[in-house]
Amino acid sequence: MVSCKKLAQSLSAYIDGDLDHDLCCEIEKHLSLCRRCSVLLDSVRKVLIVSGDERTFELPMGYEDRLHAFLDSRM
Amino acid sequence: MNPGLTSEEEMIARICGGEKTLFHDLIRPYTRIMFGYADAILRNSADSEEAVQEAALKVFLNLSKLEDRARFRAWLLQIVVNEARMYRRRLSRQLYEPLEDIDPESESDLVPRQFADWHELPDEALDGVELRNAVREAVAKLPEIYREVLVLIDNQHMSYAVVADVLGVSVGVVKTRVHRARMRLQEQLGPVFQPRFTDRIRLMKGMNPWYRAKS
Repeated sequence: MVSCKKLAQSLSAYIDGDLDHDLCCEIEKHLSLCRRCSVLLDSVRKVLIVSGDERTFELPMGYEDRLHAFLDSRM
Repeated sequence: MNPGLTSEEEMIARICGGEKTLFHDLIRPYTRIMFGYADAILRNSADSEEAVQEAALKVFLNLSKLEDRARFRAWLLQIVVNEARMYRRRLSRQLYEPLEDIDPESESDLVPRQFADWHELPDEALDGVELRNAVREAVAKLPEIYREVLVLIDNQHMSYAVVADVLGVSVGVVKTRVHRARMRLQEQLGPVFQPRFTDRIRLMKGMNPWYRAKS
C-alpha cells in the first residue's frame, strides 16, 4: 500500500484523474483506512470548489464596459 | 467563407482585413481570464485593469503578426502577463518579490506540513462569502509562480496544455506547480481557517435541532 507521503504527493494527479489504474486503486485502499489522508483529500477538494467559483475572484464593477470603451478610443 | 476556419480564426482574418469593431467580439470570451491573470501578478484591481487595457490594445495592434492563429488564447495571455510585469516594474512596487522557482529535487511543498481541515464543513458552507474571502486572501499570499497557475487552472479552468503554452514550459512542469500551489494554499489556509466549535454552531444554524444535538 502507498505511504501517506506518496499519497500526498499524488493527490493533485488523483483529483485530476491523471493516475494509472493500479496507483489509483492503491490510493483508494489507503484512503479507506487512513483518516488523515481522507480528511486532506476532502479538504483539498472543498478548497478547489471555492477557488473554482468565479465569485472568489470577482471582476471590478464596470470593468468590461471600461475596457471596450478604452479600445474604442484607441483602435 | 472557408469552412475549414474556426470562427475565432475567421474573426482574426476579418479584423486584420479592416473590420476593427469585430475585435470586441474576439476578446469578449477572454476578458475575465485576462483580468484574473493580471490580478494574479499585480494583486491590485485598479492596476490590473489598466494593465489589461494596455495588453488588449497591444493584442489589437499586433494581431496581424500572429502567425499561428490557433494559438490566439495562449498568445493573448502571454501579452497580458508581460504587460502586467512591465506595469509592476513601472510602478517600482513589489519589485523585489522573489521569483520563486521550483527545485525539481526538492520535496518541500509536495506534502503540506499542516492543512486546513474542511472535512466537516457542509457543502452549503462552501457557497459562503467568508470562505471565498479566506481563499482569495490565501492565494494572494502565495508566491507568484503558484498564484498564476491557481488562477489559470483552478479558477479559470484552463487546460494544462494551454497553460504550458502560455508559460512556455512543459505540461509536466505545470502539473508540478499546480500540485505545489494547491498544497501551499492548503497550508496557508490551515492556521486561519481551522473550523472551531463556535464555527460549527454557526454553520449548523437553522438545521434540525435533533440533528444538532446528535452532532
